[in-house]
Order: sequence, then C-alpha cells, then structure tokens
Amino acid sequence: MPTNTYTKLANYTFASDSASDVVFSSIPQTHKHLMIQVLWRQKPQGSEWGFMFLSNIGGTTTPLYNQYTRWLGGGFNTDTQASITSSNIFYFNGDGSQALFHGNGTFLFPDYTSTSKYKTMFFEAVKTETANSTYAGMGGYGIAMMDSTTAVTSLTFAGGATAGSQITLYGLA
Amino acid sequence: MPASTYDLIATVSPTTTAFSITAIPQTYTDLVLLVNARVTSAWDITAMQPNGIGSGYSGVYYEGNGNTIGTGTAEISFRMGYIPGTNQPNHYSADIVNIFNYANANVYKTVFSSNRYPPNQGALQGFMVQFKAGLLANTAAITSLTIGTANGGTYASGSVYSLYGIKKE
Repeated sequence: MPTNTYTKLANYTFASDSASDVVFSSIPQTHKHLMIQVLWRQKPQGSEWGFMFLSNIGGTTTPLYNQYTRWLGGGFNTDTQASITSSNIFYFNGDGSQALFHGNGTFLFPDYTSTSKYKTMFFEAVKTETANSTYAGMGGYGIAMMDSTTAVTSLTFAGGATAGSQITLYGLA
Repeated sequence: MPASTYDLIATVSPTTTAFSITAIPQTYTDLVLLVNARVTSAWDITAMQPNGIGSGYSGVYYEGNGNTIGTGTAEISFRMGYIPGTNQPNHYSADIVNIFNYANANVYKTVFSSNRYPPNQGALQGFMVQFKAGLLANTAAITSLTIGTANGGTYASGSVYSLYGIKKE
C-alpha cells in the first residue's frame, strides 16, 4: 500500500529585505530524503542575478566541493569549487533585476539522516526576467558535496534576500 | 488541509546487481524515482527496463564535465545516471528520474533523468552532472520496473532506490 509522503518540515519567508542568513536547525530526522524548494531574489546585490550560499551542513565546517553546469545568455559551461566553506547555489534573481521576478530552485539531499555516507546535495535553479533579452533566463545545475558522514540536522543559507523570498523544507518518506 | 500528492510506492536497498519493483499501482499520473546508489566496483550505470522489455530504447544525453553530448539507439534498457564506486570513496549518486504517463497504454514511454555523479575531490575529475531523455517505443502500461547495473556491478550497502507516484488530483 503506497505511503502518503512529501511532508512540509519548515519554511522561512522574508518579511522584509534582509541580508541575514537563514538557518534551519533541528531538522527532523524522520524521513528518507530531504527536498528543498526555493523562491529567491538575492539582497543586497545590485546585480540582475544572484546566489545562495550553502554552509554549515549538520553543524560541520568540513570543506565543501561544488561542481556545476550553468547557462546564461547563450553561453554554457562547467566549473568547480574546491575546499570551500560555502557552496554557491545559482542562478537566482538579484535585486537589480526587473521588479517582482524571483528565481526558483529545487535541491535534494538523498538519505539525509545517514551517518555512514558522505553528504551530497544536488541543485537546479533558474533566474527569470522577461525584460532582459540577453539574460532573460539563466540557470545552474550541479552538485555540492562534503566529505563528512554527519547527518543533515541543520543548514545555513546565506546571501540575504528580498521580502517574499522563501525556503521550504520537505521530507520524503 | 491539502492532501499530499506524492506517494511512496516502494523503497529498495539493493545489495546484488539488480532488483524488480512489481505490481506498480496504475492510479498515478507519473512516477518519480530517487536514486542514492553506490557499487563495489569502480563505477557503473543505472539501467532500467519497464515490464522487463529488452529492446526498443533510445536516448539523448548531455554530460556536464567535458560538455559531452551524445545519442543512443537500439538500446536494451533506459541507461540513466552514473553510479560511483571505488573511484569515489564513500560517495553515492544523487538522481531524479521522471517516468511520464506510465499508465497510459496509448503512448510510447518517455523518461527524463538527471544525475549527479560525485567526482574524486582530490582531482575533481569524473562526470559531475548528466541529463538524459529516453524513449521506449512501446505503448504498454508500466506495471513493473527491473533496475540494475548496466555493467554488472554489485550495489554497495546503503544504496537506496525510492519510487514515488504523483497523484492525478
């Protein structure tokens, strides 16, 4: 018999523009996978596009690794980040983009409660803006990794965002 | 209170080279397979056969390390994401596989998989992301999935495949 799943665990919505970090602590360890949905417009930025910065996975400062593919304005390439303390998650809208547009993203931590696997989070995110023909759509798609078996009990998303931006955590059975 | 639209159909933790999920309910719109796998060999690839069908598959893919683009025809299974092994100590794959319109007996079956293959951090090598769109030229409703390693590798302990159904309404 199928089991009902996709349970909302937590949400943070910016009530006003803020450069503050978003910290999720005491993430319930009751599900198999952790899905994260994001609506994001970075602040303060001044640029048309923006980022989120992921760090402090499970309270550890173990260096992160990040590999990604990105596309923007007709360009398409790959790159890496190695031994970093904060992983870039992109692309989203920045507060310099056309008003009311936010970027969207989906992240997944498979088997996030495991204490025997190194942790992996994959992400896909897009920036949208109809007024800009060159950078109307930008996207990022990649994987953030950490050589640590610590369970994902907490997460920090930095970069700040505008009012209405939000991060929602879901647990999958 | 809105109801959840994502149902868990099956979770499998394989320790051999292949497994099957049978009697898949025909009550959903699409299926989603989440993969978190590892093999005891150097590396492998997830292969999937709906209803045990062994021919009629084709696909197109993009690999994001080296920007490789390619196609496959007359394949014997949906060849999906890379699975890390001894080349990437203690890392597992992270894939989402969408199986569209699986219960519709009037359409060929299509699959979209997105795969993240953790590289060897020391050298930052290996494929890191892959997209693949696959087609099975067969209209039969999908009632079972046989999933395994394309190169015969054995799944390592901790590997997990989770199959979900997305409700119609």
